[in-house]
Amino acid sequence: VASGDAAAFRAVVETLAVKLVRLGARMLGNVPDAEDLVQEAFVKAHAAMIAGQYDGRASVSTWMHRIVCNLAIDQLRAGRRHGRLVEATDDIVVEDSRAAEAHLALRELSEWLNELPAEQRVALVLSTLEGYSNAEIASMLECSEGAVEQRLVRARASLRERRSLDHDPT
Amino acid sequence: MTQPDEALALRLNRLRAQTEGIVPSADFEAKLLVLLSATPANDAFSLVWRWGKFGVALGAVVAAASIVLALGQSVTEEQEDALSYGTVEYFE
Repeated sequence: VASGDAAAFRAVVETLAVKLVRLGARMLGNVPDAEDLVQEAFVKAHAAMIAGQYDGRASVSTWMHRIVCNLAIDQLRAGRRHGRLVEATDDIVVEDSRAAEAHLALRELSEWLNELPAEQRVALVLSTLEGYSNAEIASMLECSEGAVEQRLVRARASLRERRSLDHDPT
Repeated sequence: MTQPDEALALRLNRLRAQTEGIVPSADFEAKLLVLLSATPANDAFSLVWRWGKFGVALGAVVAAASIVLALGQSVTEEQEDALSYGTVEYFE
């Protein structure tokens, strides 16, 4: 990939696209926005690869996760998606009950995590929903493991505080 | 684990399981690959751009070194001139 091999980059797309869209959907709350996000991430990565900016220090997977997470944090910070969130999930055409359940779960997740700062929300999704270790998350977010732990502790504390106010079907 | 922690973990686990089956739309990957293939990775311009950056960096280093050398040379010449013309003045 670092040498600009188009076939290698194609393999990266085929390997990571589904995984990154799922991650994006969990962070942003719906699939269409996640697809836009991942497309933007791949275009950026491709441009960086052409410009020789990928140095191979991190694995391609970590590098791609880093780009997706940074874009998601930017979008969550800007709050551009908040208005579109309900509309996007309401209008979605679901093919079966499992897909319908997934989209409802995304909506619930997004509303639940909506009040968290972007960095905490992303760290929580990477840790609890994607199952990455603190070291892996630190590498993706380019911060220390301590900073990751701090974000997770604060996110969980905020969610515990809000639990009594929220509708929790669990 | 306390009760609120358990409830939190349970809810997160449930949401993880329910969103595990999320997939992009059917033509997402194909559209993405078409979009990316529209940007050739190894055309002549890309290669010139890639290697041109190294050329610019190398040029900057050479320019900086030349300036340092030129300044050093200039100071040495001024000192030599001062000695040869006997410009050292003595006051009585």
